[in-house]
Amino acid sequence: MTRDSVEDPIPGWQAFQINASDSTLSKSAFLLLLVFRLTKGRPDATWDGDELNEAYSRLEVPQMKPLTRPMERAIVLDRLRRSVVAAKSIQGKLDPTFGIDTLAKLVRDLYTDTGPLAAAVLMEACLLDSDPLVRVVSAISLSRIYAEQSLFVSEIEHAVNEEDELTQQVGLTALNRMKANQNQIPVDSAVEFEKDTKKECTTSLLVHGTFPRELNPSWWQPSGDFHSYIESNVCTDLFGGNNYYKWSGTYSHQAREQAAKRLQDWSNQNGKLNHVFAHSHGANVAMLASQEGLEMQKLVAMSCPFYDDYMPDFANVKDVVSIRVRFDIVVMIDRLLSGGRANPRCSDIKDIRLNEWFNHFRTREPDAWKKHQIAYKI
Amino acid sequence: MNYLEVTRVVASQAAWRITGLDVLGRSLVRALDSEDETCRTIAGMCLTRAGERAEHLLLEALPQCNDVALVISVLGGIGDPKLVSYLQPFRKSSDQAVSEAAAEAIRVIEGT
Repeated sequence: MTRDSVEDPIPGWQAFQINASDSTLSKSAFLLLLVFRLTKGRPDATWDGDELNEAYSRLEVPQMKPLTRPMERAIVLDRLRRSVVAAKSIQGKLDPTFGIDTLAKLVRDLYTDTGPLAAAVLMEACLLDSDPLVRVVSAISLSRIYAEQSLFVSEIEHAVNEEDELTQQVGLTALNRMKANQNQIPVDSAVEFEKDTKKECTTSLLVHGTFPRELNPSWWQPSGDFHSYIESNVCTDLFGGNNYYKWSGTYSHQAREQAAKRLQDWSNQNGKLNHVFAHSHGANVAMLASQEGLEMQKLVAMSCPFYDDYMPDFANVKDVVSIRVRFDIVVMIDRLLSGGRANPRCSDIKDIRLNEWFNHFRTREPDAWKKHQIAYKI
Repeated sequence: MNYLEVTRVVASQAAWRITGLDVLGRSLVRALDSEDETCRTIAGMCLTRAGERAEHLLLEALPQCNDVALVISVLGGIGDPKLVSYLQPFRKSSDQAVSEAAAEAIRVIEGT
């Protein structure tokens, strides 16, 4: 399923009164803009005030009183019950009578009563929309105004399995954000944390494995397919400069040792490592570097042949995740050729085994990451 | 992934290991030019591990192979110091991938 591009967004009050596929994007954008009004937020740091004001204006988003504290869901649902006679079931079950007239009424309410409650009621109603994008955007919006985000995780997870790529991406992004928020930092510490991160430049990185092909660009180089996927969907701080890291890719321990040294030097010049996504023996290069003192937040080892000699220094790598397919042919041959020093299991390494077979290169294909929702799992 | 081609490469490796026949080794060298990434990688790994036994097969393939950079990388992995003199001219190649592969291979061999 693909969506047509929109040149003229439909104003919010109108989008909810027509039952057409081209109103879906406008409805979704309207809901998100309502949340920005309520939380005094912005879509991201690149949006300036003018751009946001233009979006408010084009979609005719009403002025809203910002929230001063999280809303109570029970109050919102009660208001929805009283507002909508036809809504017989609003506890997550799809009610076929909950149609366009209901939504039109709720939107009208929103323009006459500009309190947060009317906005929340509309969002709750949109959880039952026929379009998955509107449903997931509603869930995300509600998770921003209620205290308990986890109420909407299952709805957002459903979005990840939708055929529509935009819905999938919206769901994945939201899940990743929620996952990051799970490690709640007390407010005072959060301020300190912000100060600390501003002191040092950090970057995420892709590391290729043995015999990388010099395509232009190859998967691991800036603008390569996997690089673009990770940068857009997983780590926005992925390194994209011309002096990106690469190593010889030669199939020998000595080459990996040299590569590990080079990785340390690269990090010294380009910033502390945040997430490192490394394929095959590239992951062993990163682990060797950790033995020599290189620190990184997380190592995502894709189709890595793990060996005792290469085990990371866990004092320097906070988190190691292994992504692999079943019976990876290249890894099996590597073990045969290397004489059985394998260390395929380590309790400190999170193991994600895809339900696919043999293909060593599958774990660094964007298609596999989407299909298996790897971005969320890591 | 081309399973048939991968099977052929694995079988060639096993047979070459047992018999030592150059004809089987050459089929592994030809697999370095395969369109299939898995075949190329497995062939490269096997030839690297074969060491000195693979050197003359790789050197004779260098003038006519399609992926010169990969053959050079395999030679670098073998790590024999006498290969440096064969690799030096490739450092001046107009093909950037080849010149970089040669420089990297020499670095690996010399341990610098």
